[in-house]
This record gives sequence, C-alpha cells and structure tokens, in this order.
Amino acid sequence: MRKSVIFFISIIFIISIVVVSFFGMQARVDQFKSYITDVTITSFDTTVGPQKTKYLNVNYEGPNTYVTIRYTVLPNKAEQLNKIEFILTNNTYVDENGETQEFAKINNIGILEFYNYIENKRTVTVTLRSTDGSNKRDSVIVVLNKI
Amino acid sequence: MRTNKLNTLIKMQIKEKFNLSFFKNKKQALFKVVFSVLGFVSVAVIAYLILFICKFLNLFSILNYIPVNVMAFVLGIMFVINVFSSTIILSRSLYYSQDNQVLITYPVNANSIFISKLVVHYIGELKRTFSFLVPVFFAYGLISGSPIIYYLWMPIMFCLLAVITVLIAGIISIPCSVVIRLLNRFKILKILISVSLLILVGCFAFFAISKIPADINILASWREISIFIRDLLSNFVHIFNFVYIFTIALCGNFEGFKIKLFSKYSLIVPAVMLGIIAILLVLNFALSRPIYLRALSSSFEHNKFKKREKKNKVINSNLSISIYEFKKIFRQTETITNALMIIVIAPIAILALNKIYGAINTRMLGDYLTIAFNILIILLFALSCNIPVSSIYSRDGESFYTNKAIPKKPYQILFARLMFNGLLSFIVLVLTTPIFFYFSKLSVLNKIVIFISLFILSLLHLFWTAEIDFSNLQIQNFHSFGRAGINPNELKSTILAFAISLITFAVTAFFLIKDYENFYLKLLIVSTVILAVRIALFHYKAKVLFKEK
Amino acid sequence: MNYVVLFSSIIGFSVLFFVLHLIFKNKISIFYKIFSVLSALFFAGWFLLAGGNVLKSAFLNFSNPFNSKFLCLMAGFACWITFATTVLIQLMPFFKFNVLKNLTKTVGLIGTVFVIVFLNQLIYSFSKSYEFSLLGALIAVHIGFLFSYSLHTCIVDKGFYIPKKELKELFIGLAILLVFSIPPYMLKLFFGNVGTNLIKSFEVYHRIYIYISFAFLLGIYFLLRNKDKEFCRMVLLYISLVTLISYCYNYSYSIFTTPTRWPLHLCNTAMFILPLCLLFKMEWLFYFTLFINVIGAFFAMLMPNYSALYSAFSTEVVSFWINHIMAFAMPVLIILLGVYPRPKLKHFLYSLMVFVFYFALVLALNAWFTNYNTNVDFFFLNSDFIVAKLGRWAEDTRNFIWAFKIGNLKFVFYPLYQFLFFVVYLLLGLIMWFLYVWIFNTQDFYKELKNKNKKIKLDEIILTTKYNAKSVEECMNEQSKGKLVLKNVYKHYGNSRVDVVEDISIEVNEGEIIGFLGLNGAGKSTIIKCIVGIQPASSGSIEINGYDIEKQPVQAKAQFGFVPDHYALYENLTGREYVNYIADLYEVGKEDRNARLFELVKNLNMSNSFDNQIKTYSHGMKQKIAIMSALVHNPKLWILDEPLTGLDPISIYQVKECMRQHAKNKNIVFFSSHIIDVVEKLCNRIIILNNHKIVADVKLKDIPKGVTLEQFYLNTVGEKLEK
Repeated sequence: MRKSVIFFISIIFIISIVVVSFFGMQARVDQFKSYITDVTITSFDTTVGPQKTKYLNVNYEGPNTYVTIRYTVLPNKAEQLNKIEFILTNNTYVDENGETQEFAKINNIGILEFYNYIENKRTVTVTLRSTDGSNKRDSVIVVLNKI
Repeated sequence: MRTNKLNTLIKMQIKEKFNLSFFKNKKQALFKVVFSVLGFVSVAVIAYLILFICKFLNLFSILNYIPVNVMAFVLGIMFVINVFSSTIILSRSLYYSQDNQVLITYPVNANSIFISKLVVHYIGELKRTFSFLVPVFFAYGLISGSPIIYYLWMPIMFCLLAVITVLIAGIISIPCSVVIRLLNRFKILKILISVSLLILVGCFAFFAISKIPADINILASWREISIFIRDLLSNFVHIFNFVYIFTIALCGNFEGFKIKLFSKYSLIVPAVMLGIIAILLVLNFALSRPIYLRALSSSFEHNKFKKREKKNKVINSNLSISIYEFKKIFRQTETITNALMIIVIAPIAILALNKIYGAINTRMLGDYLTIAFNILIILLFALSCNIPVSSIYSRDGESFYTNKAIPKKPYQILFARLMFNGLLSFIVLVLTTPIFFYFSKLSVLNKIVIFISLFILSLLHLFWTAEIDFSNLQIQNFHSFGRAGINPNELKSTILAFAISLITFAVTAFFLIKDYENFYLKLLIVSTVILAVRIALFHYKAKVLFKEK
Repeated sequence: MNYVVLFSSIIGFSVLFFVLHLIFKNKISIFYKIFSVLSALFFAGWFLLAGGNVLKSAFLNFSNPFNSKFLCLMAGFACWITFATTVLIQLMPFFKFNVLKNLTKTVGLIGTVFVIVFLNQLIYSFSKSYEFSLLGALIAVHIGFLFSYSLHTCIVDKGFYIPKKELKELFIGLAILLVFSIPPYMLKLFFGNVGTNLIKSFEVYHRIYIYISFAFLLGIYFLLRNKDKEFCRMVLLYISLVTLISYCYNYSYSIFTTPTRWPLHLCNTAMFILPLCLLFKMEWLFYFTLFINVIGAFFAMLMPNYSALYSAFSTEVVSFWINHIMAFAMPVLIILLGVYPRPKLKHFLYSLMVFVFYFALVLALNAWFTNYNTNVDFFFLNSDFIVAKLGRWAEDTRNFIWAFKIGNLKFVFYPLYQFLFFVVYLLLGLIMWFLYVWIFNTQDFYKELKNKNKKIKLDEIILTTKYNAKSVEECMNEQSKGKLVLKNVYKHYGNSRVDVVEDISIEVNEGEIIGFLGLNGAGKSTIIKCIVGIQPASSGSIEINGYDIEKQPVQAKAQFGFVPDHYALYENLTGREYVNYIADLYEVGKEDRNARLFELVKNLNMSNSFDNQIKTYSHGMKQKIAIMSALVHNPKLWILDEPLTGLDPISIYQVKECMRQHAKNKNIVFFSSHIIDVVEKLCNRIIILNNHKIVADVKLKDIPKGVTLEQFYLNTVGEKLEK
C-alpha cells in the first residue's frame, strides 16, 4: 500500500471517531444539569465600601504588562471552565486625532494585558460572569501603578 | 571532468524519471502549474482547518494557540516515515533499477552513479516535501501569525532537512541491500520472517483492541484527553529535544501571544545541519566506495540450480492467461507481501473501529454515521487493492506487445489480468464486512445488499483503473526503471479510489440521515449500472484501440 | 362574438394565403417569414396585455375558476397547444425541415381545431372574463391565423400524407413539441398540491428536479448528436422560445415601467439571451452565458431561493426550474451539438468582459432601485441570501459598507462582500474553462472511437460480401491459402504524412525461406509488426494463409508464430511454463505438445534449464525459448525478426536447422537479418527494402553467377564496393 493511502485511511479513522463522538453521541441529561452556583475573583488586594468592591494594584513593568486574574468557579468541574467569560470595561480612550484606542485587553482565561502606561487611564474593571444562564458574576477594579 | 560526468548522469536520470516534456507545451505547463498550486493549497487548507479546530478546542494548550511542540511531534513522526520510505525507494533505485545495467557499463566510477542516484532521489524527496510538509507548516504559519519572512525561511530549512533524509537513507540502504540479498537467497527465511511479523502484528493488534474501554465518552473525558495529549507532547519534546530545537529554529517560539521567528537557534541549527550533512556526505562516500559496485552488480546475479524435470500441463486457453498471471504474481514477493499486509491490517482496523464505536453511546445520528464511516473505510481498503492495477499492462514493459500477436480477442487478454486484484478485494471485503455487520443493527437483506454493492464498487474501480492504464501505457517508464519512476496512472487510480469512497460515504450518510427508505437497494442498482457502463466502455475501447496501442 | 372574430380571421387569412400563393409562388417564403415575425410580435403583444393566466393559481379540486374540472383542464390544454403551435409556425418559414411541415399539418391543424372548440375557455383564462373584449378579439385573431396557416400548409403540401420514413421523426418531434411547451401551471392542474416542504435541501422533489436537469441535458444530446447543426439549432431554438413563454407566464406591460421587477438576475437573463444567440450570431453574449451562467444556474439549482412551503408543482417552483434548467443545460447543449464553435481563449475573455459589464450594471441598479423597493436584489448582491448559507464568517464581510448620497437618493455598497463575490465568480468561470476542455476531449475521444468501430464493422461486412457472405471465422480467400500475401501496404504513424513503408506487395508460397534485408530504419521491423498485428497497416491488405490480419485478427494470428527482435518473456516463469502457456493460447493438444516440445528441447539443447526460471537464462537461451514458443503450434508461417543477433555459433546452427526443417514441412519461414552470409546459405529468396520501398525481390538462384549476395545487396541499395 502506498504511503498516501495508509496516511489517508489513518486520518479518516481518527476523524470518524471524533465525528461520531461529537455529533453522534447520546446527550446525557446530567451533563447539562449542573449550573454554576458561584464565581469569585480571588486576585485582589483590598475591598472597599459596603458592597466590598475589589481592588487590585498592579505595577507597570514596561509595555505589554501582564497580570493573571485568578478565580474560582463552583461547582468545581472541568466543563464549567467553558461556561464563564471575562469582560473588560473602561479600557479605551480617545486620542488626539479623535480616534478611540484600547489600552488594555483580556483573554478568556483571565490574562490581562496593559499595552502601555497612560497617566489618566490607569484603571479598568474586570468582570467575570457565567454564560450558562445562571447569571453569576464578580468583578475587580485593576489599578496600574508606575513605580 | 568528473563533475561533468556526474552532471551528465544526473541530467540524464532526471529527464527520464521526471518527464519534463510538459515545459515545451505552454498549455500543458499551465495545467501542471495550476494543478500543483491547487494541490498545495488543498493540503494547506485541510491542515489549517485541523489546526484551527484544535486551537478552538484548546486541545494542545489551555491558552488559545498551537504550541511549537505539536509541530515538533508532527515533524518527528514525518521525518521517521520519510527516512523509512526513502530507504526503501532508494534501495530499489540504487540496487534493483533496470537502468543500472546500463549505467554500470559507462566510464564512471561507482561513486558517481551512487551520488547521481542520491541527487535524483533528493529531487523526488523535495517534491514530496513540498506536497505535504511545506503546506502543513505554511498553514501553521498562518494560524500562528508568523512574520512574512517565515514563508521564505521555512522552505529553505526543509530543503536542508530533505538532504539529511536522503543521506541517512543512502547509508541505511547499504546494510538494507545486504539483508535483502540474504533474504532473496534464502527464501525460506524471508517467508518465516514475514509470517512471524504478521503474527506479531496480529497479536499486538488484538491485545490493543482488547484494551479498548467499554465506555468511551470523549466529551466528558475531554479534559483528561487534552492533558494526556499535552503530557505526551511534553515527554516527546523532552526525549527528542533536538527535534524540538530544530522546530524552534524552523518556526520560532511564542513569547506571550506573539511568535518570535529568529533566536539563537536560527544560527546554531542550520550550522549544525550543514555539519551533519557534511559528515553524512563523507560517510556516504566512504561506505559506498568499496561496497556499492559489488552490491550493484550482484543484484543481477541469479542462483542456478538443476531442477527436476516436470511434465507439460494442458490448460484451457481461456483460463490459461489468468492461471499464469497468478503464477507470476505469486512469484513476486512484493505483490504478495502487499496483499498479505492489506488482508491482515484491514480486518484488524475494522475490528478496532467498531469496538470503539461500540463503546460510544450513540444516538440515531451516531448509528448512521458509524455505518457510513464503516463503508468508507472498508471501501478504502478494498479499493487500495486495485491501485497496483494501474500498471497491470505497463509493467510488462516491452512484453506487452507480444500479447498483440496472440490469437485471442483483446478483452480476453486484458480482462484476464484483472482476476488477482479482483479476488484480493473480494477477500478483503469478505474479511471486513462480517466484522462490521456483527456490530451493526442492519437487517439480513440490507447486509447482503451492502456487501454486493461494495463488491460492485470495487469492481468498478478495478475496471476503471485497468482502463486508465490501457489508455495511457507507461511502457517506456517500466522499460527503463523496472518500475515506473513517477506513474501518473497510479496517481489517477489513487484519486479515483478516494473519490469513489468519499462519494459513497457522503451519499450513504446523506440518505441515512434523511431516513430514505430502500437506500441500500438504490445504491446497489446505481453502482451496478455504472459498472455495466464501465465494463462496456472498456470492452469497446479494447476492441477498437487494441490494434493501435 | 369571439367566434365571429375567429371565423372572420380564418376566412381573411386563408384568402390572403391563397392569393399570395397564387401571385408569388416562388417568392412566397419571404411573405411567410414576414408573417412569422409579425405573428410573434402580435402574440407577445396580447400575451403581455393579458399579464398572466387565471390557471396559475388554480387547482382542479378547488379554486377552479371554471367551476368545472373538465373545462379547467381543457383551458389548460388550449393554452398549451396555443404556445406550442405559435412557436412551431414561427419557426416554419425559417427552417426547411420536413418534420416542421409534418408537425404543422398534424399537430398544428388538429391542435388549433381543439383550441377553437374551447376558445371561450382559452380567452377567459387570459382575460378573466366571458365578456367580449379587445384581448379576446386579439386571441381569436391569433388562433384564426394559426389555423389558417396550418390549413394552408396542409393544402400546399399534399394534404395529410406523410411518408413512412418521416413518421419516426414526426413522433419524436411531437414529443419535444409538447413536453417543452407545457405551461408552468399544468403540472399543478394534473397532480395538485404535492410535495410541500420537499422542494429544497435535497428533499425528494428537489432531487427529482436536479435529476431532470441532467436527464434533459443528456437526453437532448444523445437524441441530436448525429443531426446536422442547422437541425440542432432549430430544435434548441424551439425549446428556448417555448420555455421563454412559460417563464414569462406572469409578465405584463407593467414590467417595462417597474424597473425593480426587471429580470436582471443572472439566470433570468439567460432566458432572453439564449433565443437571441440562437436567432443571431452573438458570440460575446453566448460565451458569457456559457462560462458564467451555467455555473450560476447549477448553484441556484442546489440552493433554490423559493420558499420551502410551496408545493412541488406550484407555478413558481416549476417556473424556477424551467429557468434554471435552461440556463444550465442549453449553453452546454449548444456547444456540444456544434451550433456555436468550441470556445477559445478569446471567447473566455469576451465572457469575462461581459460579466464585468453586467456586474457593474447590476451593482449600480441595485444601489439605485433600493431607494424605491428594499427587496431589490439582482444577482444576490444586495441581500445576505448567499452569505447566510455560508456562515458567520461570510456574513461578517457585509459589515464593510460604503454609502453616499446623491440628492435624495442613498447609494449603499458592500465592497468586501461584492469584491469577493466577483472574484469567486471569476474563479468559477476559470474552473468551467477546464471542465469544458475535459468534456470536449472526452467527446472527441468517444466520437473517434465510434468512427473506428464503424470502420471495423464495415470492413467485416465488405469482407463477407466480397467472399460470398461466409462467416468471419472461415478462411475468406482460398487463393491465399498456404501463402503470405501483402498487397499495396502503406504505413504512417499517427497524423504524420510521411510513410515509413510504401506500397509493399509480397507473395510468399509454402516451402519458401524468405530473407528480408535492408538498412537500419528501412522499415523491415515495421512490416513485420504489421504482418503480426502489433501495428495496423494504414492501407493495403495482409493475408496469412487466407485470413486477413485486419478483419480476421484472431484467426490470422493462429496461423503464425513470431520471434521478436528482442525477446519479451515473463521472467518469473520457467521455460517450460512459458512455452506451455503459449501452447495453451494456441490450443495445442497434449500429444502434439509433448512430441513437439521433446524434439525442440532436444534440438535446441535446453534439457538442463528448461525447468529453471527464465530470469536465470542467458541471452541465447531466452532466444531459444522464444523460438520454441513460436513453433510449438506448428504454424503455417514462422516470422523471425533478427533472430540470430547475439547467439553463439552452435545456437545459430540449431536455429538454422529448425528453419530448414520447418520450410521442408511445406511451411513458410520469413525472417529479417543483417547477417548476409546466413541469409545466402539459408534462404531461397530474398527481399531487399530501401527508402521504405521494396527495391528487389529475387530468388537466390536468379542472382548472376559470380556476384555474391553481399555485392548484390550493396549494389541494390546504392553503395559501391571498394575494390
């Protein structure tokens, strides 16, 4: 048998198993039964006020400063990790040309990146919320400091 | 002077092996370029899609990207496969090619012949690299956001890697040829080793199949699976660190979310590669010098034994062609080995597949998909038995013309040659379909209809492939090389096999999902009609064109 | 009142035709053509005035405007026949084929009589009223014209008489006439409301329609492929005109004043372009349809844009399929049947230029007309119909918008989406080019194959006729029995005009050993290959023992044994196996086989190695196996092509003895060689070939004494011996 034929058959073999697993499996009721009961951001320094607003101080270490926003999700199951999302607000400003620019972004596993240090634009609000309809959320205000 | 002779040897073999006549014809050249580009793009697109899905599923990393160790794994596996297949191809070319009988008589030393063969093989290897590895890494570059310079750097690195592959294969081919000669000399040993290997493979396969868990749920155990894959990749990279370093030099490495192409390895690795190439070249020279000439000439030696006188056997003239065809085939170990390999691997693969499907708790859609995929994979195995038919007439070389002086009708001569491969694909179907049927919930009538349909489809491919060879005989190719350098008929037959299998799969899946009654019967009728048309056309062509070929 | 108008028009037109026929007997065709054009315009006039037919939304079982199933059905038939007859009569003056005349005499006359009977129902279906109206009068005049013309044709052309040989064509013509002129609402009338929700997404009726499109293409091709171009043009023109009428079932004059309803979708344009291209030679337009429309129609058939809630035979669905089947199949048929020449590169470029123009026009019109009607979506450039099927990534391309205002009008474009659309269509056009090249190559190949097969069959018939209708298996020419006869044999390769052998005529009798001499490249091997059937002679005949090698190949090949110039043996077989294999093919019995092989093995000294594999043999031994396999069936003719090359002296002697013995047994030995000494001692006759012709055919005893064969040979081929 030619190499290409063996290779093609092997690929089809693997694809068939993956396709049948993903599209052909019976849905188990208990897979979708558990909703998120709580989301908590654990990366914070202080809480302020009666609503216990969380604050996190971060030192500016040069362009593209990264900080990881840690969190816990209850119940603590592997599939719950797919049912949460991070939302970043107040991360834009208007430059001298009148164009809106971003100075920070966050990815879906909580790594927040500050592009650079702008004097009057140093705080962003990071909100962690559930996406399975349970409407659980938590937030922290991240303050960028220059030493 | 020596370099001139070497150049001449290389040019001569390249012209013969690669058929560059299309350059003279603008239209043909355009077609060739367009199809090559399409092929490159197709592979790149498929690779991109696979990488995209893996990235989307966070399969290789919890971060949303494809880490370099994945490509290191791919490269490592492909390198081993390439070295292995290069060794086989190169051994054949170095020691058993028909043109050696002529080359050995030229006023060049054996070293030059050896090096010229390596160079020609290197060009073939480059072609194969640019057909597969380069488009895959091209796709990786797109998905990782590599800089533009990567798309120039990567092919250059692969050109160097191909040199190493060929040189390693060249060195390994020398002891390989000794082993092959030994096995040819002691046929019993060959048979014993082959049978032992087959039994070993069979036992290992059954052991592995018995380890398949009774319940497979990829979705639920997705996290464990991804962790396992990531651990496997880390261990691979840990053990084969040089492969990882090469891949970093080739693709760069991630810093944060961005890929950085050039690092210290970008200088070290190419330098090391050049060093390795130099060492391998020296080794090739040193080893080939004393050994190659001897090995080359002894390939054409045959043992002579006095054989016991046998009786003349009379066989019906209509059966004679088929029977002697079988005799010829059973004396060609490569054909028999290939056949045995398919006969052993196919049922094992189908058993493993169905065991895995059985362990997945499928709903109606899943049941339909398992039927469709079973049909696809069984067909792929059955049709691959027919691919050698793409040179069934050409491989006779000049002997083919003597068929025209025989007092038999053309179709009798041409059809009779197809019996072995037809029988082989039937055997493969007989071994694989009962396994599939055992695990399926089909009715008895549907099972019979499916079996007959699959056999008819394999016959369809058989006759179509035979027609491809007959319409485009590659006699000159086989005359020069003993086997075709690059056989376009084989490529057409392979693509046809894939196309027939995929179309049958698509149609089966579509109609099963649509819950179409009597679909299997319709498949049987349609495939029978197409087969009848195909046979009629072949018969017609044979009758009209046989005289002129 | 309608009937008054009808009969008045019948009388008027009949008289007119009669008078014109009397006065302008020979030039009457000009008037027929004028009438044809006028009647077409007249028909179009009242058809658009009607603006549709009540039957388009009628069902036999309910919402029946006639309150009678029978009358409803008859009204439908009346429409059907009217359309068919109208187009038939329009084509008649322009094409001189008997089938048209015969159809006019039969269908035209009988059909119009039927329509006359149900004239009121016909008029009602268009005018929606039984009251006398202008539209009704126009329809009556039109029917009167059709009837008069049919009657006139019948009278002028020997009445109803139709020759027997034209009947088959008439019935086929009738089928085509009726099948393609069926109005789009007839199927709904026949079959009712079936297949709802089954007309998209490859459900059953969707698939049926797709099968019909391919069946139409293949059916018409196979029906017309042997007809001449003009006939094909006529048939295709009829189909395109009559389907245009069906397609325009809903059209009225208001369409000219409502630009948003203009048929500017790609496939809609095909309905109008195709008849124009068949009427007039319009290369640019036609090749645009061929390269761009066909693929567009194909995709449209896969993804129809009507609602899935329609039934399978509703008027909208049938009209959609008529449109797209025509756009898909007709351009391909026009090319395959040779009505237009095959496209060259320049035609492809024409089509691209027209496509650019069309695209720009449609872009502009979409942007403009959207101000008046937001549903305007020519060529799907305005809406998300296509991208919605492709997914989110495609929908995102429409996020790039370019908009500007001119006065009160707002013009909106989607540059990225529309650019990609354009590029993809260009690529599809290029793919179509490759596809067409493949189709043409396949068509040519099978045409050539068919011609060759015809020649083979013709040759067999000639042969059996020439020799008193014997079976092909028998010896045809008794006079050639026991001989090898070549008559005026020529051979050239492929399309080359250069003959590699010219006018070769040889007659060899039994008992002769012929030496065939000539320089390298003179044509010796070519002649031998023609004799043994490896290559066919370009002209002339070759008979072996009375059997013609071209026309009775199997029988002729059984008469000779052939030893080629380089042995071509199956190396994995033993010598015995190979010879037995050949003996099986020649059906040599066991006793004969054993006896002959025993002699041959002994004479050729092969006893020690006969049961070894051929790949272990030396050159001489392989040659001996080839000789044995050529003699095992004791052939009448033994042909050898340079058999002694590379043999040792003993082997040469052994082979020569075999040859002598074979000739002694009243057989023929015909061999080519360069070794003149052997030829001189062995042969009794020599044939010398030079510059592709025979320059000498002499018995050795006839060569002057004192002249050696070598001298004779060199003199004959023009070389002087140096003394």
